[in-house]
Amino acid sequence: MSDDGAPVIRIEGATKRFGDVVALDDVSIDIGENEFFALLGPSGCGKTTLLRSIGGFEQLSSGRILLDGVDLGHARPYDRPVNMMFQSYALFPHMTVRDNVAYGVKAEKLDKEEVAARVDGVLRTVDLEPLADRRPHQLSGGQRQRVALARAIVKRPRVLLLDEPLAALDRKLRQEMQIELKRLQHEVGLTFIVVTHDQEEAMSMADRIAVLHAGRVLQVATPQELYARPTDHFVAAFIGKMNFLPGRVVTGGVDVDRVGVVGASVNGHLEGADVWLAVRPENARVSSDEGTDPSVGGVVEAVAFVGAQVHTHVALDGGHGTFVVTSPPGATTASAGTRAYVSWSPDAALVLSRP
Amino acid sequence: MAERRRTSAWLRVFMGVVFVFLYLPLIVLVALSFNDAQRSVVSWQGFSVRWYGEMVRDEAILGAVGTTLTIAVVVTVIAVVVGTLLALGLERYTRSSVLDGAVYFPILVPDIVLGIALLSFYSIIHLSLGIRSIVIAHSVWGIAFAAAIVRTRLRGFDRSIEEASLDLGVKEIPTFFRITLPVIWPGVLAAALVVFTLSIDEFVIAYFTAGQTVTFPIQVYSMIRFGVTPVINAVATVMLAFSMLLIVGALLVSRPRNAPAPTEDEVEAEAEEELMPA
Repeated sequence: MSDDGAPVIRIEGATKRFGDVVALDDVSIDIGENEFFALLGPSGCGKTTLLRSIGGFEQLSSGRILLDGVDLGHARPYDRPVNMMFQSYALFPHMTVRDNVAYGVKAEKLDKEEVAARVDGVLRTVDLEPLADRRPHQLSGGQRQRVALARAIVKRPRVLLLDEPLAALDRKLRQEMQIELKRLQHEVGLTFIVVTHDQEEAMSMADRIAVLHAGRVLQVATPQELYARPTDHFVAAFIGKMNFLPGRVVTGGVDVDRVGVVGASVNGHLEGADVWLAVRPENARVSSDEGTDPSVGGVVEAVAFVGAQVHTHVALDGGHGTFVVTSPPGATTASAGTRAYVSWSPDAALVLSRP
Repeated sequence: MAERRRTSAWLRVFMGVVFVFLYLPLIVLVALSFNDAQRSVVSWQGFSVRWYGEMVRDEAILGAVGTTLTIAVVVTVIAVVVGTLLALGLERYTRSSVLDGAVYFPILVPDIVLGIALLSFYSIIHLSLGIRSIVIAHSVWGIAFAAAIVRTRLRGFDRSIEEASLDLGVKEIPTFFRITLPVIWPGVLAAALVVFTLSIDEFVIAYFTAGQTVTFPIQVYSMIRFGVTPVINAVATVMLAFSMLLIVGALLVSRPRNAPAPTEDEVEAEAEEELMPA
């Protein structure tokens, strides 16, 4: 949340049940003014349900959603100062681009010049002026996406909700639009809440991210923090690549099964607790001798050059599976089939609880 | 290759025979309606529109046409309004295929059964027979037809456009008229044209439930009982032209506007989909 005071959206203990299925389980999040906030998670994690609840398309089973401190309650979508950009874009097929964009402004009963001025302004912002008289079926996917965006932002909502805004675009366009959305958010000065299943997308666009899984919020943090200090096994695995070793907390480190004690910071974990020792591939090294840092032996399975990096796959002793180390080319001399040791500095290893 | 060419030649001949079989009677009918003959309807006596003149001077025919058009208009309005709402409800709020079938069933019930059933029902509730009873009878299957036709339009209807409308500040009822209805409009209009056409030439049910009222098909039937006069040919030709006009109209409106003109195959497929939902 931005540091300048009250949140725009406050979600308190939001719970939503569809029959026996719990789509949202006691979710609480604060979202600040002008924040680009992402709800990230795999399909079925509840992120779209939460977004639709903010938009007024779903009613919570319990909990509250407050906008500028006021409970939205059961307010209908047209009574909420928020607007949604739908995953399918939901453009009106029988209207031109201009009519699509003007539709919501006309409902505000403004005078004609005001409507025209606002519509023209937004069409210019998203670069759609030359296409204003086309119909949705005469547009490309990227153009449709911009119409959907224009139609929502022309309403000047307090919060713009975006449901998988880039999912329907091809990869190249998606990357361009990530930058474009970010630029637009600064330009129009709105709070954006975007739902996505794509962690790269969330990481590159959002100021903060809430990771959802099975209806629960696992962690809310900036992209940097999520990557560097995930607090949960699921988050650690979902964001970027991570190596995991199972073990138990002992004094001064983690006793990894069938390997031995490895030094790590175990703050906040009780001795004897089951934990995961988690190490990012770029925070580990491969060498042919044991060295002084905590290390685990194994056999090099494969060495792969991936552009600017080398990925070294090591099959660890004790049947812990493959450990991946990434390093700059030339930093490692390991070759497939040889014996090697994987090591890392103790402060590079995360300790995450293992239920 | 020669084998194939021979097969295709046979197919052409076969197709020609089928077309002659299908269309020759109609062509003869149209030709005879312009025949300037007194009673011997088979020999050509020269071109004339006298039978059309006699037709439009015949009070009984005009009265029957008026009755039939009145019934058809009222039935179309009832069937399209109720049928459209029924289709929307079925599409959205039920996954019961039994209920679906129950809605379409009146289309499949033999007319004569429906006629007998309605007649008995009317006598039980003491409803006097006349235009009103025919309207109710035709509405029974008109609603079923309209619901079936509109339903095909609703398949693939993206409900998020309605949500988008609500989201943009427009309430439920205006949303229906500004978003839902315009998008399904071609289906609604096609339903209207089909129900109208069916009501105009429906004979069996109308005959059962008409009482003293004479609809156009009943009038034609009674004319034939006194022998085929050339006036009948003129009447039939007008009906043919009128129903063709309606069918072409149904095809045109059910085509998406502003889209590139569809190919013949698409038009045909759509015609099948729209006109033969059962």
